Amino acid sequence: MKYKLYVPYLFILLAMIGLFVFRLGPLFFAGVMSVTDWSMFGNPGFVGLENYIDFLGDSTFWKIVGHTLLFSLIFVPTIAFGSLILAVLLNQGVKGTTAFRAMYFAPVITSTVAVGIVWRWIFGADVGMLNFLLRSVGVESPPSWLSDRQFSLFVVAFVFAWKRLGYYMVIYLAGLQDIPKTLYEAARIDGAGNFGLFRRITIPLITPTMFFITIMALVDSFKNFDIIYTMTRGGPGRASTTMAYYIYQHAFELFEMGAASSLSMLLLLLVGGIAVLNFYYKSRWVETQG
Amino acid sequence: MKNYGRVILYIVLIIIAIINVFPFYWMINVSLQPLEAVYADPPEFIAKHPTLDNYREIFTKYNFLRFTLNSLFISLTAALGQLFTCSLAGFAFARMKFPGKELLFGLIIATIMVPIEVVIIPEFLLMAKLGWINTYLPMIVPSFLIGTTGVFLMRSFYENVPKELEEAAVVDGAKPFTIYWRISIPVSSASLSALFIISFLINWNAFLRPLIYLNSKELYTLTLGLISFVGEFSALWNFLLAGAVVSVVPIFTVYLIMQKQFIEGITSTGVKG
Amino acid sequence: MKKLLLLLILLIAAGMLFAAGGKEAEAPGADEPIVLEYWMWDPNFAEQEQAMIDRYEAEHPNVTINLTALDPKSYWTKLAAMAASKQMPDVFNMHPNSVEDFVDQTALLDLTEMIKKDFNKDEYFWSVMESSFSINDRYYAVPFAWVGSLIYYNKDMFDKYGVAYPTDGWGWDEFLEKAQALTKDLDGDGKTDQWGYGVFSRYAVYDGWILQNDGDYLNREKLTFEPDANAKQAIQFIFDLANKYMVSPHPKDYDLDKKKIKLMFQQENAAMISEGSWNIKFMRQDMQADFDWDVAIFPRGPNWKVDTMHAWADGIAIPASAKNPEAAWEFIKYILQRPAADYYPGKVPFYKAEAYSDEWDIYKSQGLPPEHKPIILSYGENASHFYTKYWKFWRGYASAEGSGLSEFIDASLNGDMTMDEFYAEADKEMNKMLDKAYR
Repeated sequence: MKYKLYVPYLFILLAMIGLFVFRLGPLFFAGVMSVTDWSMFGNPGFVGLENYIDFLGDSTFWKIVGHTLLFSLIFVPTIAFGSLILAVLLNQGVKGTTAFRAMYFAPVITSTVAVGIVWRWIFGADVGMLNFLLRSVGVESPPSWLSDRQFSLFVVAFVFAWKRLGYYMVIYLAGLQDIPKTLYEAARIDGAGNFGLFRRITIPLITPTMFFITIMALVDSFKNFDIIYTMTRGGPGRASTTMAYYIYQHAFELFEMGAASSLSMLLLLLVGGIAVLNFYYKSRWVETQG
Repeated sequence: MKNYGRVILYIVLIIIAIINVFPFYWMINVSLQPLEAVYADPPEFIAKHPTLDNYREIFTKYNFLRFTLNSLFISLTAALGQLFTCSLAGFAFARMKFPGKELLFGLIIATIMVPIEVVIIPEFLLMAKLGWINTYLPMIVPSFLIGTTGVFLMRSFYENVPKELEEAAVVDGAKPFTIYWRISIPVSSASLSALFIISFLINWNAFLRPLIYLNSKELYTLTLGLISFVGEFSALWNFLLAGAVVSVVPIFTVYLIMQKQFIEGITSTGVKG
Repeated sequence: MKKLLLLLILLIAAGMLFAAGGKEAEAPGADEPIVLEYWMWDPNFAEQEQAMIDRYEAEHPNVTINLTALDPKSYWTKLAAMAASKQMPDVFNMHPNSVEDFVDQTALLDLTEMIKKDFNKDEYFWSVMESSFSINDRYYAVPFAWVGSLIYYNKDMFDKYGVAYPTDGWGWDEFLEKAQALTKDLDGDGKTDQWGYGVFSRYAVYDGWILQNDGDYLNREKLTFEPDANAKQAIQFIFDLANKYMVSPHPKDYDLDKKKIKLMFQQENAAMISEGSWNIKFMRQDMQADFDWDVAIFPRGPNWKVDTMHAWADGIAIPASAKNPEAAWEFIKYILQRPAADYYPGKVPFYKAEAYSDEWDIYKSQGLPPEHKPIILSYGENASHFYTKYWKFWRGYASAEGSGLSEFIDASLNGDMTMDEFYAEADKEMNKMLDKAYR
């Protein structure tokens, strides 16, 4: 293909306008604001690293960082393994695969707001469906899931994972289809059982996909504002408050834009740091196909 | 023995299906009953006196038709825009060489990781400067111009398309845009479908941006309409759930229609590692 | 459409002629068109509001008012966002839980002189004005209505167990006696399923108890969290209701939040609850209680001095950046004269003439419960509350619902925290936030 030097830039022109004006521009602006005491109304004044120092020295902030990481720690493995199991089950060529796949995918296309509302009822302490079932099988005092600080974060992370499983399942299905059938046949002749096939062929050959999914799920796991807003509002207490939610509170309840921006930068650092670590260790756990 | 395994497999698949479908069933169940049903103890699994009152109310009194149309308009325009800009950019990143290519693509990938809460405040100020508050534009224009996932998806797809397809056209002296338009676009209908569904979903279910940018009720999207049922003084859960059903049905229909292409699209892009 | 437009123009022209012919000699330039953006936080009442605006526009042909009715949930988010982009509406609803934050940002117009000039204190519930919108002796908003916290009780249930209704001036002992008589294990499984009183941490449910024992948990001079002896007595009493006398459930067993507490009452799981007076609408319209019920004032504690109601205003403010503050002020004065029927059933008009009207007393005019709604009125002469800067954050409201002080109250009521732990934790966390607010 022959083209003049400027032609590729014409192709990416619109995307670049979008990237610089609507993505990187605001990001840069937030970075600048993070070293000011800007509140929504007045004019920003330079305060150096004060916002950062304030947060880093505050035990509440570290608690919230902990919640953020815990949320990811629940969400990511649930996705990485849960959606793989779904995909493997669906990949057995059973009748009605399309119907099952559509049902498993349904939560993905439902708005988080609607998902949050329904699951809030399911996990309700007194009239909730889950506790109704638990009581009817003889559990005397089932937990108050969302009102109990031991459970609320787990429940929210679980519901968010439930919502996203179907999406990652589809990606795994695509990956599974790339594994040559002949490999399975050969192993079967060697006398491998179902589990053996899964362990010796599926797992090693699916690791690149799994790596990709882990990264995507990790990025996904930090976008938890909607689900927390609809299910727990960060509670009880701060038990399910994560960074995304904390940023919102600072920006739109306290109007502390400077502080909120510095929180944003810290969140970005956290996401970026984990992603880099993951890439760094990629070689250790991803079986390269040569 | 093998049949035995199959039966277990089916049972597992069905149990998972039930867990997935039950919340939707409950949504529909409550949407057909008065408010009290939400808090019935023990829960009523089957509506005793189903009625469409809630639906009539949300469409006549609460303007849900308008909300649905607003959501449709925003999501459609943004998704169509993404098809165009992302496929253009994806094509260039996959097929052309130019200085700064790696850096620019790296920047796109990096912004996938930025949560919206991080940039929403400066973005709001930008939109205010442009005079776009209380219009659809803040939802449409950024999505129209850039889908970070979309560019990534389309680049991966075009990288997997065999070069031979284009070569005949190149020999005929076709220009890059002609190749993109005449050859690449037609073969990428499946991945474009996947991209369409993904970007349509993002805007259809968006919450924070409409919450901040839209003031007039006539411009509300479905998600905003939904959340407005949980007011400070009351919670109209029956309407809320009827609204939730209304918000799920169109998008689920779109998915069912495009399911085959969607799956094919995800498979053929090679975005799996 | 064209005809309609023509009609509109004719109407406006006619209105202008009429206004010009009026006896008011207006200042030059007064006829120049004025457009006011008006934001309110209750879409449910948008129709009434628009009707009022239409009346106002008819009387003031040069003024156009654009109403934006936002959901309470997004109201503050959007107001803050508009403030950031320096596009605040010309007239907007203001709440005492936010007023100090806005004043701190010099976002509100000082209304003190206008209020002194145009208002006769005796015609209004002035204590609500003072407690809600006076900051450093300057007024920054005007109430149009106010609300207070009440005890709601289920009359049918009281009758069933032969318990006498609450009376004016009832005390804690009497309250406890009634609550104990109404706490029952109906199905005999050894667990209480009907509670005398439902309580949790929300300000409207909880804070009234402290005021009726002449207590305060804030040091108003230093603006720190520092409960006095009377407040501690009230806090202990409420703690005991759930953990010693067992007449109140652990909040977590019912996921108590602002919705569930009403349902607890509506579904007869609790014979009494306390909540804001605006819930009269909920009980009467949204989810009608199918039993007879009424309201009472919070019971007096052992150290009670004078009846004090936990009450606060719904107000209206003008931004400091207003282009046309006089026009906005005229409109605000008009809003305040609105008839009682235009108000939320549980809200009290700031203007006494409307508050004391039969239209407001819905029991008298329409036979709807609660019979004793007018008790609110006299107690409104002594209103108090705990709002400060950052209140939403440290008290636990809106997107921080259930955090801050609420977190510790709920934990103690749930039995997850002793009173000593409660004071230690609350002292540490509250003062951290208050310190940040007033640093």
